[in-house]
Amino acid sequence: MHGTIQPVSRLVEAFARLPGIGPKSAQRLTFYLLRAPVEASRELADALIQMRENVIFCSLCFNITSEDPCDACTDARRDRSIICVVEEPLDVLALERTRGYRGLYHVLHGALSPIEGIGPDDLKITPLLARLRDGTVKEVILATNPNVEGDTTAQYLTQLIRPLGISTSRIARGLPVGGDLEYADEVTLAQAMENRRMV
Amino acid sequence: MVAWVDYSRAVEFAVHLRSLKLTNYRNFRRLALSLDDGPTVVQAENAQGKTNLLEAIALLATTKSGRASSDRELIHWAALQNNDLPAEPFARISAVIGHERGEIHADVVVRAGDPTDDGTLNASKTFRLNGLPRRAVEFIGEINVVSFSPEDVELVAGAPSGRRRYLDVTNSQMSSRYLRTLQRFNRVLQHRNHLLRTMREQGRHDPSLEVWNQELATNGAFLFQERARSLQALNELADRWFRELGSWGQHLEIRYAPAIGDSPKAAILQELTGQNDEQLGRIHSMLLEALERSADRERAAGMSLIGPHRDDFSFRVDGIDLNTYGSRGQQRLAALSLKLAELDLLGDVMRSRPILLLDDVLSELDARKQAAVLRVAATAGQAIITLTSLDVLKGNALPGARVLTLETGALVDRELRVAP
Repeated sequence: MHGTIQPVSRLVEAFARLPGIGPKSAQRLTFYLLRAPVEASRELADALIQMRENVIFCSLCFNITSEDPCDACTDARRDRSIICVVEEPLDVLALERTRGYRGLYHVLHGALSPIEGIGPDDLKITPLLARLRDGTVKEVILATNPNVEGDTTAQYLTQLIRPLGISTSRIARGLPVGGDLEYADEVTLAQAMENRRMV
Repeated sequence: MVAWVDYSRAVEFAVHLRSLKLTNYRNFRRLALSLDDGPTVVQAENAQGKTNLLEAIALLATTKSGRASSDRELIHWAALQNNDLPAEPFARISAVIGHERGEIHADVVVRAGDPTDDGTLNASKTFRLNGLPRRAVEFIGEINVVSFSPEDVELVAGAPSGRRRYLDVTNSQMSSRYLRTLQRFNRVLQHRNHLLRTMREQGRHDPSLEVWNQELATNGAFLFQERARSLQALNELADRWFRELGSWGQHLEIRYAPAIGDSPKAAILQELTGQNDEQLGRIHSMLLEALERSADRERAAGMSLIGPHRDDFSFRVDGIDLNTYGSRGQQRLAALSLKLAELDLLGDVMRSRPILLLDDVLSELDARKQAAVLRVAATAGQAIITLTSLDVLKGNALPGARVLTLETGALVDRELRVAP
């Protein structure tokens, strides 16, 4: 970045490397912090360091946690016969907000994506299969994203889990709540019809 | 032969453009025009914006420009240069579409984005229907167009990629499921090619290849089926036009060449019976088998060698491939026959006659073909015909049609009508 001093341009560049932040937003954030009281910068820096130093991955489900195993894995009220497989820790948060699911989780940390060089060995698949071998788990819910990468990952896991005699299910796809049938696209609607349920 | 088109059935209502507004689009700073249903003639010298105008209308239908290598080209050069504004440079196409149930306002905005890190200039398009943001796949199909320009002879004489693009645009206009499947297929193909390349570089098998084969086969099978079906219908319709317009009484055959390996079973793609799951299942397993048979070849090549991305189709007259052996006249007639067939097919499938866009094509046709094309234009739901000279309309073609004149990206304030 031209026309500015090195400490400023260094922060701009650091911000710009974050996902979802372009060069303009990076400048805006930097100049905001420059003008804000110094405590704001200290708090941010401290939060960043604390986050990296105190957050670890649960050795069972690979969700983020501050203690290993994590709260969900040690919670006696949870149903230990079901594991829901998701791509990211954020997906666990989303599912927890529903308050409808009381089983365990397993975070893959990604999905198969040869374009980005992500293959089966880069995901937490081997530890998942290890968890399934002790006989407690009766069902695996595959809740990877409904896109090419997530679907293919679900397909891949199904082929590995099926021989273990554990039932696998894929989360349903279809119409959003509050949506209008008329405005639903053809594919979503077709899938909603396919996945219909008796009432 | 499967007849897709029932000629006896009348098309009740033709979706059409009522008005069109262009802002900073190509050479138009500002252009507003109202349109009638039926034919409209746009007359202009070369390089006044005729093709740009038709391109804008086609973009409303397909969400893509068939000509621009980057969407940034769609923005007027002066708007691009005026970079000190707080707002990014943009181009806008706004249209009011007359539907059976009323009017729909459709907007496309092309924005020039910031240059990326490697210095590439990019642009993004956003779509709105009645003011609400829509994705491209949801926007497509609000209007349908069939456009014909002198470059279309390349469909017959040019490379396979042009013919595949043609099949994709035509099928996408008829079915958003086709478009979605195509987008998904392309994504799967990219992944699979990366995987095959990595496997070749590292000299080892990847256990996830099998699921990528499954994904390729699932999406590929649908594309094969839909391309085969549409080509079958286009073949039948184009042959009629070719015989009617040609002076040789010969038959035109449009033959699909699906890239599904050398299986003798591939013949089912030449004689499909509509859409059904059982048939789709057969194409799917045929494609999977072909992938397994060519596994070694694909690994050695480090890329996918089988699938719709390698498809082609040919135009044949008396068994002779026009791509290699056709005269320019035959190639042109074959391209025209295909376009007229497309007009019939889209009209039937969409239950509404498409908008016909004729870009300066009349001058290179002989009198008989001119008359036939003008007859089609006169009965189309809506037709926009660009011409450099009104001479071709002599001899009572398009009586009463409006004539608009374009000069350097603006409408001349003088409206003519073709003599009734």
